[in-house]
Amino acid sequence: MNAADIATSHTTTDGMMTTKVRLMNRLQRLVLTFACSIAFCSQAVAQPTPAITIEITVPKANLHAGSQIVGTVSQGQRFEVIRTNGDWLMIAAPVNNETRQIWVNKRDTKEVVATASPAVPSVRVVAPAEKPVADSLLPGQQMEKYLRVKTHLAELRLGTTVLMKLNQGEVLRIRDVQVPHYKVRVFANGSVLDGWLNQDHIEILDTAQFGPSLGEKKPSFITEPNVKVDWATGISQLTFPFQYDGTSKAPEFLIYQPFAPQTAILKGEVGDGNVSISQTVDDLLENLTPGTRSLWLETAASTNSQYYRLDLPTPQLKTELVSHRYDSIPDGPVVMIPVENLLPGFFAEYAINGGSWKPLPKNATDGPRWLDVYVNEGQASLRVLLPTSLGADRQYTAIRIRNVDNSISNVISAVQVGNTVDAKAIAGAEAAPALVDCTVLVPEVVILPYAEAIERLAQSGLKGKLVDDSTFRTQSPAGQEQSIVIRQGVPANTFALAGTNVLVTLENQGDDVLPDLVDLAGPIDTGDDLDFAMMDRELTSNSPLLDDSELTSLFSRAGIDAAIAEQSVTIPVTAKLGVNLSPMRTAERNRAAGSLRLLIESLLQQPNWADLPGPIGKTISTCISEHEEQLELAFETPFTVPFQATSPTVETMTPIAETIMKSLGIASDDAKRQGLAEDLVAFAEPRWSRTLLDRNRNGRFADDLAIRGIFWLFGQDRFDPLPNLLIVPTSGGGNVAVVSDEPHSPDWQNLLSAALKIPVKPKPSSTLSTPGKPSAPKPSQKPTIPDGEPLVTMSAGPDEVRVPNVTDRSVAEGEKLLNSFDLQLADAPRYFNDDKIRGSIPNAKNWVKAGSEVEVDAARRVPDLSRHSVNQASAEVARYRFQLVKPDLAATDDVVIQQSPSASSFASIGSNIEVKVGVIVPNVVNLQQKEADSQLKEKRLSWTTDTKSFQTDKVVSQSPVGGTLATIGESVRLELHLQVPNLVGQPLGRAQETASNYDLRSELTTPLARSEDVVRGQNPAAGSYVPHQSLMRLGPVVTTVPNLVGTSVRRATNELSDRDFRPQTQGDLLDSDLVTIQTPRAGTEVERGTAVTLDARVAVPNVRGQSITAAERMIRSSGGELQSRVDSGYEYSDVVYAQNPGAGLFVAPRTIVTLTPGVTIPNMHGTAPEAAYSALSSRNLPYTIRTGVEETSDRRLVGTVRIDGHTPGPGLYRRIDVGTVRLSAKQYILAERTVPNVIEMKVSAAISAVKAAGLTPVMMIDGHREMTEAQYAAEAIVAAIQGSGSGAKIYELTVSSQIPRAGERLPVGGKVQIIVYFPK
Amino acid sequence: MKPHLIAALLVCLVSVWGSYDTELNAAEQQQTPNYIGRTLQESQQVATLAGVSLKVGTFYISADSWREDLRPNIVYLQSPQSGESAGDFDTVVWLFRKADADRAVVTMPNLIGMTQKNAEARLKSLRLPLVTNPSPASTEGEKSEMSSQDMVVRDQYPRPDQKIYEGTSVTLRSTE
Repeated sequence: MNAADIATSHTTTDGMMTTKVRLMNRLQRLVLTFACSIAFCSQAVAQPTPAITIEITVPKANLHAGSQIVGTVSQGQRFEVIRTNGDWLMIAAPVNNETRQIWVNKRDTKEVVATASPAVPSVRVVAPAEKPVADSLLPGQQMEKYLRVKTHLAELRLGTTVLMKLNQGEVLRIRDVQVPHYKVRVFANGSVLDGWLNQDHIEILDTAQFGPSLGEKKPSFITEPNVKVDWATGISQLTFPFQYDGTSKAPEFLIYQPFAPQTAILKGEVGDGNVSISQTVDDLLENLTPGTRSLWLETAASTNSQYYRLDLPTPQLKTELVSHRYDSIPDGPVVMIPVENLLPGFFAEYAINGGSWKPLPKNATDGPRWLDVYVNEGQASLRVLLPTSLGADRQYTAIRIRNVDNSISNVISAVQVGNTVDAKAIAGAEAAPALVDCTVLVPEVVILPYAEAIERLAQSGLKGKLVDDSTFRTQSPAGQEQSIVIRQGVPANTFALAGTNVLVTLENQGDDVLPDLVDLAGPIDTGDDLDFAMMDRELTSNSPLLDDSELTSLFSRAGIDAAIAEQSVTIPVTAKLGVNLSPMRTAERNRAAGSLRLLIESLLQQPNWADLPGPIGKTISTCISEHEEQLELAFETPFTVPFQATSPTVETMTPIAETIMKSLGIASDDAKRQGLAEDLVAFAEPRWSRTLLDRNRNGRFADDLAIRGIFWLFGQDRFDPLPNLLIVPTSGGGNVAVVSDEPHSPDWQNLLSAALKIPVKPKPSSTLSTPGKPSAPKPSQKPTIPDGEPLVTMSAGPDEVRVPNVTDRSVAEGEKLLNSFDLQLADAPRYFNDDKIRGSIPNAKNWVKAGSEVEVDAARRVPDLSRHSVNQASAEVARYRFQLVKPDLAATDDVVIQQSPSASSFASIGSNIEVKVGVIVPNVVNLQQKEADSQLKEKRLSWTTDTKSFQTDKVVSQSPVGGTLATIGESVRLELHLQVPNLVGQPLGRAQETASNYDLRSELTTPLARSEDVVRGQNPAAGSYVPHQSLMRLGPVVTTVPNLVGTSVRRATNELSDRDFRPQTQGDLLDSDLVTIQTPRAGTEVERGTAVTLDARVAVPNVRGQSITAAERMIRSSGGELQSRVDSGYEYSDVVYAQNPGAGLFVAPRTIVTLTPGVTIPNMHGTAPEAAYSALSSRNLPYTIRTGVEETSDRRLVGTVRIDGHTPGPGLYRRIDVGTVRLSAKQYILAERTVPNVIEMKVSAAISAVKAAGLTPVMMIDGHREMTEAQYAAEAIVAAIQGSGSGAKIYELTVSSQIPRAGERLPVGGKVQIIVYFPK
Repeated sequence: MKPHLIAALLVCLVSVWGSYDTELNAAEQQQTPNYIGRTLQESQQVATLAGVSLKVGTFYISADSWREDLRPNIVYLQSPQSGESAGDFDTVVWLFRKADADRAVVTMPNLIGMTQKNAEARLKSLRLPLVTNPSPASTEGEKSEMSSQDMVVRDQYPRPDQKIYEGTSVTLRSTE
């Protein structure tokens, strides 16, 4: 079954019709390439014969495809041989404008020396035949490293030879470019194929855009031997070994689909040396592109991400219901189906009691559904809930599982009654792989050229099929590739099952020839008057003649030929019988109807319609000869005699009815003839047109009326075809009709049966209901004579039968054939059904006793041992009863890479099968050299490297890569990287020596570095891995800067030069200048050659306020030979008012500092005028003074004169700004007041009077209590509280006396006692 | 735009225009394609290409007559036959199903001459589904206005007195 068949058959089941559901939608993108995937999988990879080129030596050499000649090639043309088979050579040659792999006979060729460019005419696209010149990229073109196959049409070619078809979605590394071809390498079936792809079928991948860069982030390959992916649990969890170094923070992983725009879709966690991915599989599927074979894992947490490739396993599902259990689930019993190798996205289907397959849902609320995948001790089981069956009948629930890669499980059928499931499941045969059901979006292809439309449909996972726009029959697209598609059978933007054939019609199909049409209210015509539905209206063979070999095997050697010749004609039944629509028709009646129909169908295919055999054939022939011309005329002109009416009448049909009855040998009477004529009218009237009346499309009408008449008479029980007719199955799988011309005698069939020398044991009903597939009679059973009138009088079979030719048949076919001749296969259990018989004893055509045994010499199909371990191969070979011959050194886990005889060829049972074994190259990438060495030696592989190697080196790549097959002893080329040592802190000389010892080349950041200098940096960093002989850059390599401050510029310069520093000066300096500043400072680590700046500038001292003399001295002594200059007009006693440059500024040597003279005016406040005069005079300042008088209570001052102010005030002034100093002074005198008379005054008045006089009142109470005015007020408050009297009253008391007396003088503020007596 | 694309577009436009013109009487002139042997999906595509409406019925086959090579999704019966005109009637195709042993056999009544309404009631009582309810009206508007009471059955399939199983789809041709 090819891919197209699969797709077709798959889309024809009802179950699949209902799969446009959510699951399918999720899988939508997954199946875009499955059609081509299957095609790819089924495509045998051509094994190119080492370059042999042949030249055609005959004028026209035939090209053979099987037994057909499909074209020719001309003399002189040369072709590369793809494959040889005996005298036949397979070449790629043009056939019908297409290059096909086709066979040519060796005798028509001669071998020639291969040339680089064999001249091959009419080949549309020729890939480069040989490796082009290296680096053949266009100027400026950068090699793009990867491509992806974007169509299913991609073919890997070498020259004109198609090596294989590639799978859409394949990502391959570009190995070379020769526009428009890209060279890639493909590993297929253990072979390495280098070939070229046309740019039309690929897309170049921008590795920088999507996913990890293949260029720099080369993944470590995790191949299947090193990966244990439990995809069963992968529904919710994915686990694989991973050496976690513990350095990265959170060991999370991202999973990529390489180059897909979707990036992180899963996260995993590391624990116990394994990585677990926990995520629902649906999420993965949402992002997985069809055809994806591997995923990439990235350690996301670390800054230095690691990349790994995780190959999806190749599933080989095998399920068997071995146990079931009943959970406490009330809905019904749960059965467990052990499953292996489930892929994410698998889905299950179920069918009840032989009904159509339906998707088995997971989350349904009723009906069968799967619950989960239960994993116990490594065994995963699909748990399916089967709802309790209410009926008493046994219910069969069939379940099968499909993977997304098109693999399919066995069919498991659980037998259920009520809530009890039979413990033993029924395991059906393993189903053939089929497309995964899913829907895809149908693209718009209308108005596209046909070729482009097909391409676009293919890209959507659909197939285009060209049909004629009027008959809608399949049409060859040859020559119409550029015609415009005018209609498409499935509307665009709707969903269709992947792999669906989308019918398209093209423009310019020519004008439709409109047929003669029946009236709108015409009869409903389903096409068969015998109530058979057509199975297939196409005839199975165009040959009207029976094959002689079949006759030979069918008939006996004598007697029968003559008997048949005398009474019968044998014609092959080339039509298939349809299906009986009537539920009530008896077997006998059905057999008669079927025989009649088969015979008529076959008669109509006979080349000579004028002499058809038997009464039925005679009826047809006679009707045509006698009535066809009149019928023809009836359609051309208004009806002539006897067809004078515009439509058929009983009168016009009566002659035809007469002819029919007469030819059939039916006694004609008026009633029968009338009835038949009326039926013919009823039949013909609504079809009275050329198109409709000619139902069998043979251009004649009389035969259609004759057949109708025969059917009518049969339906009226007035005609029985069986006495003249026998349908007999032939050994070739067909049927033959034996027709007697004359009315037979009652024992005609007996005679015929006796004459037949074959064990005719057909059950006619079964034979007729399955035409073309004769039922295999059971040789041990006696034939059962059917009820009713027997067709054939059965016997127990002939005593002697002829051994049929079973050579080249399978044992099953051979045994069946032998059984049909009442012969037995000797030692039958010894053989497999598909063993191939090479000969028989006795030989074919020998006559032997019926029922005897026939020995056969059978060859057996050699099993395919490739990729089997030696252990597996041994078991497989033993199972096939061959002998395994393996190399002496082969280990049990070695893998078979070659076998002889080849797989699928036939070899004698018990013969030797010699195998060559290979080993699976371990993946040693990322391992240290010593570990890699150990692993490779363990696998009996050697290794080489192009560089030195250290045990601590790390393997960064290997060729062949891990997981590939290699022959024992084969050398694996390793690329080793060494670990960079730490050289920082070492003296340069020692560091260079160390680098050399590590197989590193070194270079310095400075050529001036000396061996004693110290290495302060390196690149690459210590601990990293680099290729051998990598250039290591050491630097900075440093030394310290000397101390130069205080030395002369000359000496400093010399010292710097001696040490390979570059001396620089800040400004123009004299050699004798002393260095005051150096940059960098002394002791700083710098590389030699670094500039050191010498500076002799000095800081200007702060001389402000200093005397001129002192200032000049300070400037001179500050270094740098600074000088001073004083502005004019200064006195000797002056001080520095200002300086330029200012204090603290660094100035060049010999800078002149300008001093501005100033004078300091002291603070003379409070001093005696004489002292002020002295101070001012000493500063050569003129002055004036003005004196005033001021009272004072300070008796020490009374009578003195003091300076109380001057202008300008104290401070430093520029000399030229200061003129005469103005002094002000005060002479102090004593302050006094006269005591007022307060006697006899109220206390309050007295207090006020004393205050008004500037004196202080003091209260004297009762002559002994003195208190201040405030205390007196407090006394008043106390008196008020105690109730001794109003507070105000004590202020109403009268002053008795006072001290001192009135008129005396007291200093301001002096105390005056106010003496009062409180009343008692 | 490349010349060949322009040409293709023109061809398409002309074709579409032409097809519109011819579709005006397509209902009367369309030749029924052959559906027998095709899958249902392909048949529906063919009907789409032919511009006709396709109705799908079921025909039950006895277990004795059932053949293992019968496929549930293949068309084995059709009406009208290939090459005939469907006129305004729908094209009907039948898919085969294997009849259970307990499925009842009924005799197809003669509905010819009955009103469409009565025929439908009769079929319903016999549990025979009607796959099409055709009318010869030339426009949808007329069709919708036409009452099944006014229609008379002119032909039927399966034929009168034919033995069929319950559930077998029946098609009628009725006119005013």
